Amino acid sequence: MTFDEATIMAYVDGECDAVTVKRIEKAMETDPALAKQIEQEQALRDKLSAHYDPVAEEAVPDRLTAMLNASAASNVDSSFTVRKAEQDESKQRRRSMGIAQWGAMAATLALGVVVGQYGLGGGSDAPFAQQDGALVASGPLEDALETQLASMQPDDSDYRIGLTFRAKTGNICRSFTGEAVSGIGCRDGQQWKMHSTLPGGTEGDYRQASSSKINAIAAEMMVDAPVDADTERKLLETGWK
Amino acid sequence: MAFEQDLLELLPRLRRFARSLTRDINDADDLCQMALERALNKRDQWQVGTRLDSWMYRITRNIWIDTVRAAGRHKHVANDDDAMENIAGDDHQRMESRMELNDVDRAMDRLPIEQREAVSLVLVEGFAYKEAAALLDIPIGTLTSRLVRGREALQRKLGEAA
Repeated sequence: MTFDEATIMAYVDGECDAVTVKRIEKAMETDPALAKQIEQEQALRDKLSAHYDPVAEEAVPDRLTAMLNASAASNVDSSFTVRKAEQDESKQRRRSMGIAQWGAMAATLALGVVVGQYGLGGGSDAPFAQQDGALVASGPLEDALETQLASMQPDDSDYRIGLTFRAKTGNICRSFTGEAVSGIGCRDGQQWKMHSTLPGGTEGDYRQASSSKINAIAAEMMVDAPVDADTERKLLETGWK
Repeated sequence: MAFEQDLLELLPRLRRFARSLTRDINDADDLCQMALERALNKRDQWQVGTRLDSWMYRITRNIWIDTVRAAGRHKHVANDDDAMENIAGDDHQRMESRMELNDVDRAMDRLPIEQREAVSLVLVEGFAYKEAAALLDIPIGTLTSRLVRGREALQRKLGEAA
């Protein structure tokens, strides 16, 4: 008895009905060519499995888990597809900078703009101070980063705390949004060093756009998931170590 | 949240699927990232009680198709061996300059996309014919004929060593 390609394939894939399985297995006993063909089909399956299955055992890259963790904690960052499309497009024209470089440049530019606009200082309400060449939180922003819990935000605070997470650098970082400025500060010694800043804004759309950008940057930075409310409280009590 | 947790558990399989479609590690993870993004944005469209894995595989596959079409490579060349070799040859050369390819990667890369996705879903991901056909929106007969042709091509490239 002969079997067509599709039937032999279905046998190897476990898609044959019981009767056909029996017929094939009986035929194999007396038909070495059929047995060899089935053996080869099985070997192909094994070869593909041996090649691809280890991928499913690999550690999942941070950028993928961070997306899900950030989404579970807040809103989804939908900017990657857009950035990816832009990147692919610019690749065709010339060698482009990587996403990370664009991100860093955008953050730096925004920092310049924001700092230029609000200055480094003077009054006690200034959100930033300069310390050893680094931009650190001061005044009400420093208070918010230092003492405010995301789960208990005072109504009169100028800043709302978003995500608290451990960055790949090992430091604890917290995102914040404010009327004038939003960003991410990372605990460094006794200071909150600014990692990224963006203009804030009272307009709903503007603030939302700013907040989603901050979440995107945070997702890139964090090691694991943002911390939960209990851990956030413990970190506050132990000085954000 | 449960939805994100379920996606997290699916990720290793999705990465494997993406790798068999795109063969490049970075492209595969970019594909997964875009698929996650779309899934999170369209989570309302997933019906509780239906299989999340099938839904995610479908999203991933659709984005892959869009990407391939947008890139203008890998045109449909089934039943046209010369054209297939031609296009695959260009791609092959381009990839060779970038990285060392395993013979399985190379053989998969040379399959027309319709055969590659069928082979990937059934042989790599272990979907039943019925599930794979539903996922690809094609009749089972179409799926099995693509599988037969895809397998024959893979056997020609890999058979001697298998």
